[in-house]
Amino acid sequence: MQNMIEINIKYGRNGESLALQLSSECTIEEIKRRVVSQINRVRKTEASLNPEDIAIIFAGKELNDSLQIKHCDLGNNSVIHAVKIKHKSSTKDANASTTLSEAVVNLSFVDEKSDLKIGRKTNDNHLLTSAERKSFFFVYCSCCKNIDSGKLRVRCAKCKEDTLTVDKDPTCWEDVLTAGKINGTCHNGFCDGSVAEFYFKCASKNHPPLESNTSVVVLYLIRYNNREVTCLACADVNDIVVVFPCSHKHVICINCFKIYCLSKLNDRQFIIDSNIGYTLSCAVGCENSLIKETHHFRIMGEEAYKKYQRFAAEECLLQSDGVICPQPNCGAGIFVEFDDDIDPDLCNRVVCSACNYVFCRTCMQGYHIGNCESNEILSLDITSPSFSQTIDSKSANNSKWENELSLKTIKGTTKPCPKCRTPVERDGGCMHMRCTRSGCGFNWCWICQSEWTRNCMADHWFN
Amino acid sequence: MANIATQRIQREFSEVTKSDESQKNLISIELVNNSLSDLRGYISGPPDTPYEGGIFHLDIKIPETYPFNPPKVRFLTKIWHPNISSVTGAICLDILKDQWAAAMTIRTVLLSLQALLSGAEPDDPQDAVVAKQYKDSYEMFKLTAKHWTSVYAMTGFDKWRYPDFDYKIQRLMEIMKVDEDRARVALSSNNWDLEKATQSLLS
Repeated sequence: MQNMIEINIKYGRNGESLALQLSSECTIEEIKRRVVSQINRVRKTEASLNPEDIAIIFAGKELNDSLQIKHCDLGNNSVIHAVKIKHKSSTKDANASTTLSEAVVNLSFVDEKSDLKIGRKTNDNHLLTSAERKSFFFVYCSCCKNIDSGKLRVRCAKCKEDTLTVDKDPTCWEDVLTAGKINGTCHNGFCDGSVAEFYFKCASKNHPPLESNTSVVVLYLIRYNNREVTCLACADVNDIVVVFPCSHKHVICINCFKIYCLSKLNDRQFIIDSNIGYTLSCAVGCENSLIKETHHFRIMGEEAYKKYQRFAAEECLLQSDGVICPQPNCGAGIFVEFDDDIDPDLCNRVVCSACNYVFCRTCMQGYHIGNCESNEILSLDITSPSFSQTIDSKSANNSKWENELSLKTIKGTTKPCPKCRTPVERDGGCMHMRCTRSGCGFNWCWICQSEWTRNCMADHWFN
Repeated sequence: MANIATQRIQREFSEVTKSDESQKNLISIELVNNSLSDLRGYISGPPDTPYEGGIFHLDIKIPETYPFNPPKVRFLTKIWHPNISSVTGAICLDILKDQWAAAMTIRTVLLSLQALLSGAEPDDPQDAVVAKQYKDSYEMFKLTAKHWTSVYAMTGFDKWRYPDFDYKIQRLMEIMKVDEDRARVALSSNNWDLEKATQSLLS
């Protein structure tokens, strides 16, 4: 019984389908016979169908009669399509004997075709199961919330049904990722679709079998390391690597990539790009190497990815001249609108729309009239009105004390960047500071707390 | 220390040891306290520079996030150079800051530092006093740097001596009751003008 799988076969324009229990030895011809008898039984009034009148389409290919299920990359609960043949001639298509996933299994190595033989051979030495080796794609699945192997599938760009056969196999990532590169023929009833649309499915063993409509993003920079390239960071040869989109195609192993992302995230050194978003470049620092598919950063894990999204939103806000509420545990983003008629003394007064905290936009401290104080220990009013009424005074004091202490610690060990007010800690070296927040990068003097100048160099470079 | 950092340093250790530069005794590294996060580096002063003949000791600290963040490097041997602090040994070199990349290694850092000794960049100075001297009176800079090399970076009998400097240091030590190092810094910073050096210690 372990060789039996359940296959769903869709037929008819209204999405009618039937489920068949099939042995892995079963041929396509056999499937056709069973489908036809089922259809004939349901549609008693119509003219009866013959097995030769239908075609079985799966993943962009019409499957040849002699193929067995086990050779078709079909898993449990896979969906295949049975369609009435439109053009008799297409059944003898030369491609029809291989499935799409087999034909494009080497897609990841498209520009390295000459090395394919070597690649295949070395693969055998790796500790991968045959199933893992078979799928050469890595995807992020929104349902599993995980990165796992994925399967490439194709559908009609017009009717969105998998009833399309492709004219030719994709040969590079551009064919797959850019719409309209590959043409095909849609066999879905009267649909005249002729453009292939590629998509990915999660192939994880843990993926719920009936959850097929989750969004799955292909992480095309992740590859099996069939060339046995050493990782640029740990200098080991690992099975799964990330190839940076730089001209040198620098290789980093998946584990080091994760740590690279996390360390850049914690230092807040991701780069904001107006087209791509919040991203990173090649770890070697190559030019024009920004990672375009930001789902690759899913590798950092759920929690860090949330932090990534928050930082990205904050950076975006700051770049559009917004401010972030400095109140602990608030941090709401505020777009400030300036009114020309307002008293100039009040022009830096910002009221947080989320927690109602009133603060000065320049020094990011509680609102004040007159010049900002720069170096004194701040006396922040920690308890906001809404809080002090609901929490008993003792615990309020405790939390106040802690808050004040950490604020004092930050205040005592850091100075704000004169431009973006991000607290900066100096842990040695010279007085020349460079704001590490990407998007700022202001050069300033630790002593003067203003822009770094030649005078600073001459007077107090070292204190 | 994180696993990657440990692994990397172990590999880099053998990289440095096997390198041509190490065979020629130009660079070397060793562990401090058997910890892979705390290294001691050595570079020899390049020929035809005031640093020739000297061996310079470097303190190398490997951060937890290595190799995604640069190692922290400073000179332990006192050195007179525009891009290196004569007081703390701090180094102003882009690859140790924002130009660091994960593919760089301790070996490339040591070689870059050696290159820095061969060609200073006085327009991006770490030590403004040295940089000024480097630009305004280059001969005086060379003599001072050579003097510092012989005092701090050389051992044995092949030390180069400059009697005029030694005499002035002795005088300043007597007048101001300061130690030798302070006297040397004061004189070096004032183009070996005994009077100005005295005043600088008074102010």
